Amino acid sequence: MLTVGTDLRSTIVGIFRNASLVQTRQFSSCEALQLVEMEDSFQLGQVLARQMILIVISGAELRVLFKIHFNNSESDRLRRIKFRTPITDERIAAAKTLDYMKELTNQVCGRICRIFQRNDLVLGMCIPLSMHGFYELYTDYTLDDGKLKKFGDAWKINGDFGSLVCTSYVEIMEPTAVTNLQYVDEEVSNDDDELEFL
Amino acid sequence: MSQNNELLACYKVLSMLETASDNTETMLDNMPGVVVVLNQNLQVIRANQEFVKLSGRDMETVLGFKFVNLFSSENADILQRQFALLKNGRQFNKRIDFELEITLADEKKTTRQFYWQASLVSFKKGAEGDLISISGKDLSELYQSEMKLKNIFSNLPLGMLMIDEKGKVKEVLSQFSEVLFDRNELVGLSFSKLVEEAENGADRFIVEGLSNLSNCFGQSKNNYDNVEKTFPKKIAITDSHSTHTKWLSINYQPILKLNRIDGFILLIEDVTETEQAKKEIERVSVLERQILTVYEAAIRDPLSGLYTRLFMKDSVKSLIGNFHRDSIEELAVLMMDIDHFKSINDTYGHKVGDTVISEIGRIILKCVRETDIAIRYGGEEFLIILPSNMSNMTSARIVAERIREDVANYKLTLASGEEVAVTISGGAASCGKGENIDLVIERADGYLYQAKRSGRNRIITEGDSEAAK
Repeated sequence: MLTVGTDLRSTIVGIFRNASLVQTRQFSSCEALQLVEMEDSFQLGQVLARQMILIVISGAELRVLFKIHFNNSESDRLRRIKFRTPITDERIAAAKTLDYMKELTNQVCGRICRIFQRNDLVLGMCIPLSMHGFYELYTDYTLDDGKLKKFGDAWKINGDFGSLVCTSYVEIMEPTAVTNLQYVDEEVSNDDDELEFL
Repeated sequence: MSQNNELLACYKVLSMLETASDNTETMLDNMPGVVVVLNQNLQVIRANQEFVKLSGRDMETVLGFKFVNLFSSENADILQRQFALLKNGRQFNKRIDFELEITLADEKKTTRQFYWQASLVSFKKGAEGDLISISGKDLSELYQSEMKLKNIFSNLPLGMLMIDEKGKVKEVLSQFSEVLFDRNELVGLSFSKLVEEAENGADRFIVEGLSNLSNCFGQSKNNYDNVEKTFPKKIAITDSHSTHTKWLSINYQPILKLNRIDGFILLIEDVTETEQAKKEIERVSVLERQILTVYEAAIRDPLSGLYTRLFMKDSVKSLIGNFHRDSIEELAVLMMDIDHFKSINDTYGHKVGDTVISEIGRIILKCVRETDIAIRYGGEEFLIILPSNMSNMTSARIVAERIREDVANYKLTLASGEEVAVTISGGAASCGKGENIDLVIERADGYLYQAKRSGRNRIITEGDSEAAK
């Protein structure tokens, strides 16, 4: 079981980080992936890569804006770990990579949703939306405003392929509903859960 | 609307937004010229293809590229100052325009001149700080064309000056202008004064004309043609050593703004050689006229008005040439001599003798045709060459008889009232093809001798068995 923090922020951030790493490993069939902290100079809101995939996870208790920032060349290398057939046409390769990254982001967010579901928090998620990485400028990362608890986070997933950057921004509307949040992921859950996928 | 429909609508809208965003970004990527957005550290956070090419990177690695790295250290300082000006006060409607050269990261360190426009992006101050949007236009080709044009102008042997409303030289468009006026610097000088000094005091018309030039400014083009006539078109200037006069031709090209004269471009050409050539042509022409007069005097006997023997050589040679080439069918030679001319001289004096020769010359000229050549062959001897298309002797006889008759009918009245009668005799011979003219003259002279011996005042032609009167 992956460790997560004890306070609410650390727990939620931990869930996102671990879910992203585990799901990326699983989706890419690449075990040699590492979760790496951002550089000290980094600030949320900075442009991180040429592309990004965005998904909104939302429920009555909280709202999450989850993004994976990537460059095509690196994510294409990641895709090829599993799908080795080379694609000669550049445009098709780019479209395939984009679809691949959308699916990865979708799977990571799906995993996050399932973890929250185990904590009796039912969240919905939108379809993945691809955008130019430059639009990260427009992301709202404002912190607590007194009414809502808000926080953001960013981390890297590094491997031989290069690097992906994940960012999340959480707005908690019902703090009491998430106070006792437990990190229970699928790897440590019982086999029944696994069977659901089989 | 059911939940499924809502989801579907949502999906459609998002797909549409995604496509729209993608298309917009592609358009931005392919925009002509350089487009780049910098963060507060002057690092690239968005760039189009042109900039990517310029930076020698690709679309992914260009992110975070330090914009100032495109510039030499001196130009990077200038750039930083420009950006500091822009950020000063955070005025989002402020734009700065400047030209600055970039240095490419290739081996040759190629430089290219760019025209830049930079402005602050109106945006909340986020993690990237104040954003600067920059567009750049490559002026290298324009500069190269300009340089080429400048070189052409510089090397043209033509002065080109731009004159302002005060009649002063505003801009020197060709370096040759300074050479023409023998000056190191022309800008700011009054063109009128320049001409005045160069001419060592220009005449009144030049000064007035140049003053009209200044008065034209702001005037309508419609009135220009009349004023333009007063502008000096040619001036003569003396170099600083006062050894050489240079002729300059000036062409005035008005620069119009809303049909009003806003400036002048003066095209100045050194026409010294043309002027010298003109003078040379004039000199040669005078010389030619003089030579012609001398020649005329040499070939024309002043007393009789007939040609001299000197002319005979050339003219007869040409005539014989034509004759031998069959341009002339027949040719006859008529030799005439005044009867008893010596006694006229002896009796009445040489002055009367000269008058007789003069009058007979006039009669001969009156009787011959334009094609005939009448020559004063000796003192009182006349030779007439008669080309003809009819029987040579018929033609010669007609002319000879007419002269003889006219001379016989002529009476010279002296101051004393006395009348002097004169007669003339002649002999004519026909010239055969290829025959030597001297032999023909000799034969004609023989017939003349026969005419004299037969009693004078008569003509004997070749073939005549008897003298004809």
